[in-house]
Amino acid sequence: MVQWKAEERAAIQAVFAKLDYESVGRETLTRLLVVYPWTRRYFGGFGNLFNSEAIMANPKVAAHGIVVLRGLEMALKNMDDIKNTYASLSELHSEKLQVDPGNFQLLGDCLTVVIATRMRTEFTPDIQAAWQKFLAVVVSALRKQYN
Amino acid sequence: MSLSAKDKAAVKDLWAKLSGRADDIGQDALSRMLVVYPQTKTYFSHWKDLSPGSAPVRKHGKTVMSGVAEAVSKIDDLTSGLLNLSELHAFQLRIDPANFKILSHNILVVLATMFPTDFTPEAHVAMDKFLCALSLALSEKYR
Repeated sequence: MVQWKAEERAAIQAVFAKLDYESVGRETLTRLLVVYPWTRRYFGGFGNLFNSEAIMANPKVAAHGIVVLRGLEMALKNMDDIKNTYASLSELHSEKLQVDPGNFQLLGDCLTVVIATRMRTEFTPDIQAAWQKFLAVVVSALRKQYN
Repeated sequence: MSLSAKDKAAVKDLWAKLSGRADDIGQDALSRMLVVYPQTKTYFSHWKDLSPGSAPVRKHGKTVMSGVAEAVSKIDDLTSGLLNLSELHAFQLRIDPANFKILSHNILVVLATMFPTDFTPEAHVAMDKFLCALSLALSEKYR
């Protein structure tokens, strides 16, 4: 089971407290689709994803950004048992959505970059470490049901 | 995933804006790497102080960023332009090339904290591609 130090819990709570789900969600997904364009394969029903202006303005991208962050919030609320909390989400991503799990890391990296633009120097190395540890646990839990 | 003319222009454009703070960027990226990826500390056991912003970290941050600056100036042919640096990393330093990705990620995070408006999604993809190409050129002489 993952062990969390008090400072790590506090750091991760601090990151979430400042998260504007709408703005951060939209920009994170935009960066994913721009920086790693092959990820557009999973969003065929989203309409115009041809350039970053279109992606940024796309209402389905914005809506989905919020969905993703709400999903992360579930992990935040169940930090001591993320694996089981995510069992059905993992199955959804592997069986129904058939997402290559390598992409989870890419989305996590984009989210980290967006958080860095918002928090700036407040996103200290220690907070970054705790945050990335949290993302690593989330990614691992999402990969669990793949076989 | 080679660098297009648009990518090179974006990288040079961004570099012009950030080169004045290159030393700060190097120091911050290295500090983050050592804290967030503690396994990277194994390469610096000869340093007295590995804490963020320490003297050896600051000095080495400068060294790393001058390498990046050299890469920007040789962006049209990174492989031949960085041959000496590749030999250094391959034969003397022998750094596992997986670590290039780690340092690149931390450089991107630092750019995001320092230049939130300039580091647009377009600048982000160009810089990510550039750092990948740089890492590949550095790995050239490994085997």
